[in-house]
Amino acid sequence: MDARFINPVIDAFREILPQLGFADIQRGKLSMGSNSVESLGVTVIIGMTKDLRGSVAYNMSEATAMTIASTMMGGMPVAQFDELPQSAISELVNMVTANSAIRFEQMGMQVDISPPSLVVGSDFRARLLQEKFLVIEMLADGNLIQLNLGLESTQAN
Amino acid sequence: MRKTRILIVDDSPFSQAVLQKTLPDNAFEICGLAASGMEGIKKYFVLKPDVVIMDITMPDMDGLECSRQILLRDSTARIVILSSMKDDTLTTRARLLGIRWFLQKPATREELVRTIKMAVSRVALEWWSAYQEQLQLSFEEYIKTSLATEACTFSTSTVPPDPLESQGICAIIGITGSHSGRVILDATHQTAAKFAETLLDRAASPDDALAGMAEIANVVCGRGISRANRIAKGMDLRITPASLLEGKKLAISNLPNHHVLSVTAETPIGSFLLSMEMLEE
Repeated sequence: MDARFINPVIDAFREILPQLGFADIQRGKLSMGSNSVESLGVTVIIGMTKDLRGSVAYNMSEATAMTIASTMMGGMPVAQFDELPQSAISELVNMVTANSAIRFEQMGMQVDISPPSLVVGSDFRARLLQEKFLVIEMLADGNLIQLNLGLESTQAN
Repeated sequence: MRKTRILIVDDSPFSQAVLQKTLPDNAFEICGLAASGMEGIKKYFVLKPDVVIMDITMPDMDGLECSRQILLRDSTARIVILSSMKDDTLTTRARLLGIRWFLQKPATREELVRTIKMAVSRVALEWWSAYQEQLQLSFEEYIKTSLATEACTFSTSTVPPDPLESQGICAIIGITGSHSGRVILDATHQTAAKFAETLLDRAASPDDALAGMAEIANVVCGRGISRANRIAKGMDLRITPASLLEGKKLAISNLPNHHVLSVTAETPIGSFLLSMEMLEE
């Protein structure tokens, strides 16, 4: 897993989240994950292809997802994680990933992204393309979103 | 937003009444009714509806002949067959005429609305058709060949459950390019393990079961999408690697504004579900 993939994703997160109503964006722990991403309750997977292939899994608890969706909807109360808040979270993932894709392109790597797949449940896990993947913890107003990057470059070095 | 205008061609006053009662809302309006094939053709060219709901059994000509005559003069006509009769011969005849939408009576309002939306959608019909037909074909071929049996049955649905509750293991492949979408393959842990055992010819570990699901999804999508790209002019779809999900309880939400077709394969080792979605532009 190439460390060059980290900054574009963090920068995209830092650029997009304030536009959605979050004031304080912090980076938390950075680590290497292996085997599978244990879901925190809500996991959104988005695929990439072209010069970078693989997927990014955005992982958060359902309570966090509801808080984030509520902030995105101007503070509207969210009592249940149903269609509307789910679509807000999918949109967040889409925006952050699309912004990362633009940044990858500026680095000379063309990237196409797939629609995000939002998965809700308990006791489930996701396998990304590779056994080892990068785990970046991001905090938006204290709400933890874990970004799992399972990407590889298809460009010849 | 302008309402979708619908012409109903059906000789049954009862069917006409049911559709008139269930369909109209802020998105749909019934712009005309015809009780015979000939009347249907005349009204089609006067009213220019966005979509026709066509019965098959009618007194003067059957609905497929009526559709053929409409399509002869307007190849862009969007026709949804709604008939109590639905068998392989009829669906094949309809498909050969270029009719992609075939529902059996009684259809629920949800089925009708979804089908009409797909019929009038902005996704070029030939793209969606090529995409779903080739993926379906590729899925059927791969399952039968891998399991070395013809004893598999396949059924399709345009109204899959929302959300899709996984049976245990699923592989998700993203579609990018000229249109975007995704394909989900789902099965139980047991079925996935049996599939891996068949392919590997030895006992399968849980990892083998996952790898087997990724393999099915990759091959089915790779073959199906390449063939669809060759068939539909201007279609240039690409696939992302498979992401795998597995667990006790997980549900995948449907994509917004999308076309969807799901195919269920009943095989001697269990059932597989392949759900294909494509977003509207």
